[in-house]
Amino acid sequence: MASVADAPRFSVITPVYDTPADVFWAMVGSILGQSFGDWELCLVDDCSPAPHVAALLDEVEGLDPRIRVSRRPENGGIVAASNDALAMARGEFLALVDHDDELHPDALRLVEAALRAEPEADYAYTDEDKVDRAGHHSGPFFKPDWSPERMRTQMYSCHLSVFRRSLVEEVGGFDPEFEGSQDWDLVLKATERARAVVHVPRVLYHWRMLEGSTAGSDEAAKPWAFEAGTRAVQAHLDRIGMPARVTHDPDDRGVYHLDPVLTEEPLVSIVIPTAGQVREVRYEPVVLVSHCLRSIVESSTYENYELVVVVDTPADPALLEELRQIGGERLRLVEYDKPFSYSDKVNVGAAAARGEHLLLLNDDIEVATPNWIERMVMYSGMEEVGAVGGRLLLQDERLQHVGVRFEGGLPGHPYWGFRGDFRGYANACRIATNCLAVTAACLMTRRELFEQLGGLSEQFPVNYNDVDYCLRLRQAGRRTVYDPDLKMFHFESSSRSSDVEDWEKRLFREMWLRFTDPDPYSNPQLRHELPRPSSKFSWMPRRPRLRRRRPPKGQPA
Amino acid sequence: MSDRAPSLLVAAPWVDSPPMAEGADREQLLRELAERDAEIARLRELLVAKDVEIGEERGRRLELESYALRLISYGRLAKLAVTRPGYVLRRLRERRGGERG
Repeated sequence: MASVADAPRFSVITPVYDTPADVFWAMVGSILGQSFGDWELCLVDDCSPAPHVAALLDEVEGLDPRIRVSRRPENGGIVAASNDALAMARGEFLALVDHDDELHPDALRLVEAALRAEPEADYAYTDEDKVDRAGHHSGPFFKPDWSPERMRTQMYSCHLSVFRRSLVEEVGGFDPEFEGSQDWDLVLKATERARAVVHVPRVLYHWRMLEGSTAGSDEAAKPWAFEAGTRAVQAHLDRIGMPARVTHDPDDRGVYHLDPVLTEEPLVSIVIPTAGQVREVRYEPVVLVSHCLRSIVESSTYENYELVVVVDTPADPALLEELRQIGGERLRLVEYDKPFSYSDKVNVGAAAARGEHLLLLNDDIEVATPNWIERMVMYSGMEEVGAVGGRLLLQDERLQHVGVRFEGGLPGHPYWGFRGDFRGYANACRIATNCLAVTAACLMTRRELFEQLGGLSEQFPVNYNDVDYCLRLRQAGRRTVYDPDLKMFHFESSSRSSDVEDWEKRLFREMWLRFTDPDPYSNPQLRHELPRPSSKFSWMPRRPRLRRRRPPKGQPA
Repeated sequence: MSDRAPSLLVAAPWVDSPPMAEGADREQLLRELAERDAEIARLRELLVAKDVEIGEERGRRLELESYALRLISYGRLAKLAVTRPGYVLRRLRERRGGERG
């Protein structure tokens, strides 16, 4: 056993099974060609029946002293082979590389730089793309920074994953119970204990598309892997005590859904500021707040909630009577007699609320998901979560809100106006994910947090108050969650102009630019949450020398 | 109570219309009114369904527009790569820096 001083920085662990010779050499070559040299490659042959594999391993073993080979006497599956490779590894960090994939020449160097910049990092991952047998690259996956909620509904970190070896040993290595999704299980287990997680926003891993591989075909190739994924996530939810049940989307590969299984129903205060306005909704003029209240009362399956309606005075007595009829004993009417300030109005309502959770709701919302409150409580009840929002649809069922994203330091709604079933880049609309902010048109937060932060800021009386609140939550170490399965209708901008004043933009940028630019839940290669055209070149070597050199003076061109 | 705006009801001049006909005529009128209401509800549902259908098309169009704009941007980039490769490479390098604040 080598001493700690002799141990390499990275152990690349690669189980081998019936690997075609050309892609095997491509994989080995990509490791040998790394610009960072402090690594070892641990190859474990899982008793490949193909005769050429033994010869390949014999040849590669003598190629470089950093390549170490082990041969299993019997086939044990990818988990057993990976655990053998793990036992061989001596490096401080483990990099998982499949036997038919390739690393970017700078992969280990850039990961090393990121790990050095964050000494507490126990897990690192990079962006990836796919490559066919002929070496053509496609389908780059530009990932967000660490997003725990996303990791529960999509194995997004995938390749290249680099773990601190001590942590992997602490969690017991790869678990045979989750064969096929053992890497997802390992990421979940490791990140439950990791001190910090690092994302390197560069395409540093090339996932080979071969017939029968997960990268190269549809779900039918490895249905058991997706089933194992469901079990791995459920086990994770049970470990962290999240009251949820996971299901695998039958139509969409790689998408999982969490459904709430609450053991208790804390009191939720739904705060609705309103001016009692009338608008035509589905070709019928309705009083928005009445319509909203009726949809809550008629559709919600959650029992323990109160309705705090903040109405401008003087309020129409007929309207108040109607609200009392709809809300019954749940209703609490709060009068508001100051000039319009959305923030203040919500704060006044929150002050009158008694619930453990506050649910800020616009009066132009209609409930479309019966268990919407349960879904929000499921997330809001988690200590590290500060705010929860959902998928809001326009009247004609187009997308209005799927979480707020920032560009140039200013917030915006990605995919606004796209059709309701639009999946978004890498299924972004269909999976639960973290974002910097969600709209207060439908936002749940714990009352305790709301009070600690002093409610919505009155510096932003009309716009940006919700985004400002979510960013203050982030500053306080809380995450904001977007839940795609929580669908609501939002009859947008019926209550006021959607124009944002210049002073609001200026003030917001002054306050938050360094937190919002770039948006950590987006990627430098994305614009409006879709890949930039220039991202097609992201696989290119770091310093491409395309420029023709000028000939020295005095010499002919 | 109706969820129509009180202001709309007050503004409507036909609210104080004369009493409806008596006897058989009344029954007939009530039936006709009920039928008309049902027809209005049916047509409204059709309109809403049509809205959703149109919404899907509008959403798809917006999506295609977005892709088209990106394609145009890609074309411009390709043209620039030929005419001003240094500029493009500098931009690419900046973009691939991926620094986080």
